[in-house]
Amino acid sequence: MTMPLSLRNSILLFFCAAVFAGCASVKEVNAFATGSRQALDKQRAENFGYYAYYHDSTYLYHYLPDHLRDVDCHCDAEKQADAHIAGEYNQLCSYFAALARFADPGAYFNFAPIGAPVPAGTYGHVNFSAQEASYSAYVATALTTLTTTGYKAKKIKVFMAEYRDSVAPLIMLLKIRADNLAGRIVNLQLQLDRTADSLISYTTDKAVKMPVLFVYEQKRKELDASLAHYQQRVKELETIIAGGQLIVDNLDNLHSQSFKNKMMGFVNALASNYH
Amino acid sequence: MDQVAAAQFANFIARFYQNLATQVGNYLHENIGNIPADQFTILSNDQTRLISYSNTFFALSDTIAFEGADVYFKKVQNATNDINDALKTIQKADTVITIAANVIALAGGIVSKNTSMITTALTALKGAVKL
Repeated sequence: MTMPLSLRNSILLFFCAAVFAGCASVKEVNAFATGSRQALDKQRAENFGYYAYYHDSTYLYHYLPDHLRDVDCHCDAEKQADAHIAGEYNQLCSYFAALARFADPGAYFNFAPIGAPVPAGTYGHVNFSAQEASYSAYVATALTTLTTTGYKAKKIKVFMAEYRDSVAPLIMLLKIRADNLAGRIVNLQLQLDRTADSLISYTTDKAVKMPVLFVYEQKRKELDASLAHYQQRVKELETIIAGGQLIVDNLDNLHSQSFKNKMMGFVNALASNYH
Repeated sequence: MDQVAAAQFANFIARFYQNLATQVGNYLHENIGNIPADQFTILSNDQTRLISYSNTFFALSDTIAFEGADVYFKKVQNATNDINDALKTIQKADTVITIAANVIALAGGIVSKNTSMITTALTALKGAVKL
């Protein structure tokens, strides 16, 4: 007995749908992964990092030096630390690009080279712990697996297991780092305030007051801008951590309206920061 | 306490010292020119030390090198609110100096993980914030 053509087509369609269910379109997850990737990419490109911080602190914490050489910044090692941080962001961007593409097979992303994991060690004043290095190494390994071997056959559970074990802890450490740097910028401001207040209050030469005030205001604005960037960075990383956890907690429930609503809340939060 | 919790605790302590440095700075800002020069110098130097300790704790947080803090975690956390509240209302320079000196000793205890130094500083602070 031959099967009618329309029935055969229906069965074929059903099987195709079942095959692609593993990387089925989960629009909200795709939107979240895309938003996370954009936020991380923007953070990677920001130029105030450890080098800029130590450059500023060299002269702000050295009150009234005798010579200009006293405030020379020997901060080349910190540039390397900044490059490592950028490398970690690069890994995370690649992870979210892979997740976005997986959640929407039609999406196109140009994957940046994943790069080597960050080695533990000390770079000037900056230290990368063995713990942080191990998370970075796990992410690098996970990315290789997720983006190469049998990519399309992967289930979202595989992606999220990697997220839970290595991506989320790395984002958490980057969030703590960003918050610590924001805190140190506030300390630079305190020091700047103290120095300017003291100079303006105690100088007897009125010709000195105006240039001190002018330089103070310029530097204060500059630090305010860097601080605002870092505070936003912390907020964005917190949103990414919370959104990722929501997916992990709802792996069997990704098509529920409640999940979709909550997920879109995180997507909107990331988008409002991005723009 | 796991490593991430330890890093967060170090960040919390760093923020606490930053808060104190801010409050001492505000006090100096409001009273500069009105308080004796020697008291101004003491407080100004104390503010520098508070900022320095705050930076130290931020650095410890970055390196996740703050494990073993569980022993005094509660004690220190409980004291921070009282100290913050007290500094907001105190108007006398010598009281601010006493509190600043003891929180600096407390920071030394935390950095060196010296429990008896922490307890001594906390006891002194308990008396000072009631002044």
